[in-house]
Amino acid sequence: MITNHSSFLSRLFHPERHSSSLIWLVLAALVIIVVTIVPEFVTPSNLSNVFVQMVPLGLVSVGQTFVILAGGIDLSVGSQISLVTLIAANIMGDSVLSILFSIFLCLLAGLAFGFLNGVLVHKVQIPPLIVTLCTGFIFQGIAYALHKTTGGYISANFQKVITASWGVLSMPFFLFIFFLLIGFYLLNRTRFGRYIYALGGNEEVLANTGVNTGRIKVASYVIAGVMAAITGLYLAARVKSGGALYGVPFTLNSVTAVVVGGSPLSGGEGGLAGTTAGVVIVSMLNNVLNLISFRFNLQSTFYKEILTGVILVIAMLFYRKRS
Amino acid sequence: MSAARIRKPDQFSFFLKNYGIYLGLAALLAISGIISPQSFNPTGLLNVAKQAAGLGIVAIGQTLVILTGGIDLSVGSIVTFIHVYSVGTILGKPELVLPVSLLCLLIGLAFGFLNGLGVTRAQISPFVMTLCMDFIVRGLYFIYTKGQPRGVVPDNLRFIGRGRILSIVPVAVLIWLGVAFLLIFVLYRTTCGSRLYAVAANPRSARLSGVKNDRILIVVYAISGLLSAMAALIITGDMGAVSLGVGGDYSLDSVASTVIGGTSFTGGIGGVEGTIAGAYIIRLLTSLLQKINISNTGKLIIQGVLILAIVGAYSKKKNG
Repeated sequence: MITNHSSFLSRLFHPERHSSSLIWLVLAALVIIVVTIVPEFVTPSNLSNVFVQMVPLGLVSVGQTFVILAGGIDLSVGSQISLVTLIAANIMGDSVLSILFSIFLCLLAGLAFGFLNGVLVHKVQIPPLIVTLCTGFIFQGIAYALHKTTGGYISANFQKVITASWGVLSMPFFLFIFFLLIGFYLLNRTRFGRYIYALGGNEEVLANTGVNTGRIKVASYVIAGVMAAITGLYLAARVKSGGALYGVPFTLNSVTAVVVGGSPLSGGEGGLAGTTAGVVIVSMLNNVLNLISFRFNLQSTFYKEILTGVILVIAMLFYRKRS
Repeated sequence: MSAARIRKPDQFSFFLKNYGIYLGLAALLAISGIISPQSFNPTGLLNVAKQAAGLGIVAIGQTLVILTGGIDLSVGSIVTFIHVYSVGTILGKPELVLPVSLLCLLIGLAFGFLNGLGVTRAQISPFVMTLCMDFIVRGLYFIYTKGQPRGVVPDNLRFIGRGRILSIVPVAVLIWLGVAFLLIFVLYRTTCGSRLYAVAANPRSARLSGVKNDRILIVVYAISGLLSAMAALIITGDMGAVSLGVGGDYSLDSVASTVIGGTSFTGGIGGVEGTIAGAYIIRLLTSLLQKINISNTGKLIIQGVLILAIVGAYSKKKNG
């Protein structure tokens, strides 16, 4: 739908491809509401807390954005994250070489997971939802098998490097910004990025222009897999252990962050700017829920699941195609 | 007439598509006979059927949803919710069983109805809607139980899960087969059934021929919720205790039963009759794996691979 004189309201109800400015407005409004209702949100210690919670979700959502833009979905990222934390915790030693080798192996594992998903979606022509749901269960099964009651071993040096902080700045912050910038570059400045958008927009047309669509599709899942592996490594370092359930919340939360950020599941529209705002919104609301339930002495984990579900439904309602 | 009549595949693939599931069942039965001959007798096999009853009923609802091209990922949470809610409300009082059971069926229906509304009126894709519902219902049962479910299951509720007619045939199996045959009749012998296949196979032409697509879809999701609640009551009766871990596997298990039973994700192909065997196969597989000491871990992996293999084989056929 093309309108020359679009008012703010009509833009609000007909989000266009680059609607990231819009989602930042929503975020700003939310921040104002939150600060009025829950003033303790803006204390420095709480803000740094929000940030620590935000980084893993941000990392995994960068990968999820590529897949969703290309018209797919990856419901296996949560299990991939858990599995990677366990791989790291099982093989890591204390020497620099051993740490580097573990990181390399974990990234390779993420690459392999993503490749498996991509090949099943592209070559075997199974719908992405079914593929990643099933591979998710398979990864989860392997993670349970690797899980040890002790949580394995993560080198203290690795933890120090990954969670290092200098005042306001910290290593997690740089990690997130670094991968976000790489993602931005890939999506907005390269041919590959344009193909990702085109693939989600209309696969047939892209294929008719002579592009190998299969390769682009597989690449999107590989990116999601590698980002999940990086998330897993970060989580393993932060918690200093591996666990079969560490990744569970990230599957739905990453989809929520991407969709809230204005990239619909139909693909081809949206982008990382929106996703970043989506990540901030999801993390902020989760944190606010913690603060509120602390105030009323409630068990916040129980309400978090409801919150995630409700936000995603509202976002889908908001962005649905008007016919 | 059902849409299945219109397709005319060649003889062999027709045979495989319609009866392949029973070949698979026979093969699995033979394997289980070899692995544990001591439980390979009518009593043992009926026991598996009793364990499969709850899953069988959930899977019937799942089959209807998948037939329409959707998927219901909220059944697992609905089963757990109804399970903890019924036990926590009845609190061992036999006179409360009937009213609470009816209330539970209504609650299940309401969850399913909301799924249906989200999918049709709000145009949210089925798996997102039901995944969100899964999270919401999970949050609800955690809030309801505060993490510690309590209550006692009275004898008359235990009867529908554990009881046996003439001390041979489990009541649960009779309920399962009753529901299955009712829905087979509805699908193949009523206008409602052929409309469902029409909506599933080609929504546009169904709408143009005067079918109210949305209404059919809402009813299908509502039935799935209702059947999940019914299954939860049977499972509660069979267990006789209360636990938060009850429903966790039912989403994957019911999807697996449906797919193994020959219903396709593309919609409009398949039916409830294959799902009966599918659910039995899943439970037989579970008990076999337990016998050779492969825990839940192995079951997750095997089911994942199984669904991928079956869906993959089907999609290859379609392209080739």
